[in-house]
Amino acid sequence: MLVLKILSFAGLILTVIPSFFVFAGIISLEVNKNLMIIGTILWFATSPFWINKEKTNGVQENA
Amino acid sequence: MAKKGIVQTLDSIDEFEREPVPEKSLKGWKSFLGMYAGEHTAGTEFVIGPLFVAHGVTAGDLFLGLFLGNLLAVLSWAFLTAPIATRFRLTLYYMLEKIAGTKVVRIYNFVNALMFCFLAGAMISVSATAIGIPFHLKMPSLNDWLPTTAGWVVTVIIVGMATTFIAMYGYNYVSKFANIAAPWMILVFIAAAIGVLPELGVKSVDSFWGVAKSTIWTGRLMPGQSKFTMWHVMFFAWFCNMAMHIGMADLSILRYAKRWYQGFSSAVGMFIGHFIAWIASGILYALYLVESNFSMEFAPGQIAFRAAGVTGAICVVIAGLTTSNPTLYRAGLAIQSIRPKWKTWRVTLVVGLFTTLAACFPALMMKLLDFVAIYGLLLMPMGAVIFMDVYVIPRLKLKQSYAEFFNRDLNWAALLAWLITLGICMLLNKYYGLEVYFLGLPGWFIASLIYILGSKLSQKKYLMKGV
Repeated sequence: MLVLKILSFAGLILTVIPSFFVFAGIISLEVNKNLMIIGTILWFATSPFWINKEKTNGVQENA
Repeated sequence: MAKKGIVQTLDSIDEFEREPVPEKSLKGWKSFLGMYAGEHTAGTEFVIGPLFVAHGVTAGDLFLGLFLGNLLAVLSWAFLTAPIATRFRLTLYYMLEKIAGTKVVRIYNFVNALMFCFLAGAMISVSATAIGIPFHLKMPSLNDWLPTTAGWVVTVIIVGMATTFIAMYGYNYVSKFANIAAPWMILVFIAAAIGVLPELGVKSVDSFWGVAKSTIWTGRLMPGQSKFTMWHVMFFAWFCNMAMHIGMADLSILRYAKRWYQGFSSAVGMFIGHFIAWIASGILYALYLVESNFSMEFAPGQIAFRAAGVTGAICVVIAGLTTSNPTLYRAGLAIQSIRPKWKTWRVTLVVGLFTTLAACFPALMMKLLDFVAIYGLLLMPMGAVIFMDVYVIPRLKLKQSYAEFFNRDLNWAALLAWLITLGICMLLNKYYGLEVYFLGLPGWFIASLIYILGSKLSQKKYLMKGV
């Protein structure tokens, strides 16, 4: 579970952090787009295994 | 399996429907923070941020208006909704039934369902703008109200039907999927905006404000749009969820809170979704306008794709789906509560077909700001009625929960407060030019006053008899 969580957060980091490198002129926007898609795949491939197990149902389902 | 999921979900919604939430089922801060963050970072954010730009908001007006409006929204949740929610721990519908009677609840449910359909329809249109990218679909423009091309209609129908079938059979899965998508979605908003800032001319943090004023929120009005000031932004940010806070719909959620001050958890939704996400989507639209030489075409999918590539387009589809799907499902439930014998899946199918038809009209997406304001305004008077019934009616020595106490299925004072308020608001709009974004404030006082006067009159004969 811990490994999956680490991979999930790595996915989120890959989704958002490279854009700051684009802002700083370190990488191009195209590289950022590629890193974002890798981050997205990583997040959606790993987070379903733990995220809903930690959510409490009542509040959301009664929304 | 999917059907079982829906039945389970329906069962969970029925939980404590007609009784206060028991102590053991109360939730902590974490549940509300997650719920509000997810709920208010949605497909609508991809439309609202750009529409502020199209309405010619200046940078100063936008930041100040968003800060004040979102703050007022949080205070409304915390000081109006949450104290009543945690005191009675009942759903809005049950509170309303006790006060206004079952007939008013039926009308409320019908209006609510209709609004849900239009909101879901707008989100289906948003998703369609991303789905259409690989097919080079011609997108509707800002001033389009009617379906533009056959390709647009076909795309919307495909997206709409897919959303309807998911709402019929897989609601539970989408609700879980929405939990997964929420944190990722807000990061995509942020990353997309940060990534394109250099192309707009922002080379350092210091240069942001200058570019914001000269290139992003320039005050330049797009043709056919009305001019927005700080007041428009502030009132829109405050009242876009008016049905939820001042209108008391979130009694159903906050009744699970341990303490009233958990209403402040709405700040996460407001300042992430309605502050950061609106600013981010505005930045993306500004880049699109600059590059397209102020094209009137308006397609959130394309705008996100330009900034964040495939991730951006996926984000628009997911944001649209995770917003339209539960909205469609709730519309079905609202209709079903009027006719409980109708099967849930059949109601959802009919509601989905109607929604899909509505989504073919780009007006729903292009006029989202007006629609959201009208949505809040339409349901707000019932919130004023509940507020007055809890705090003012007892002080006037009148009976609370009229319908329940006098065993009536219709409280005329509540129904008249609703109808007359909306009638006066319409007149204020038509003859005095008061825009829809501002009508909620006078409307609340009008509804409160009419309800108090109506209650005095309707309870007079009973009180004289010494009931």
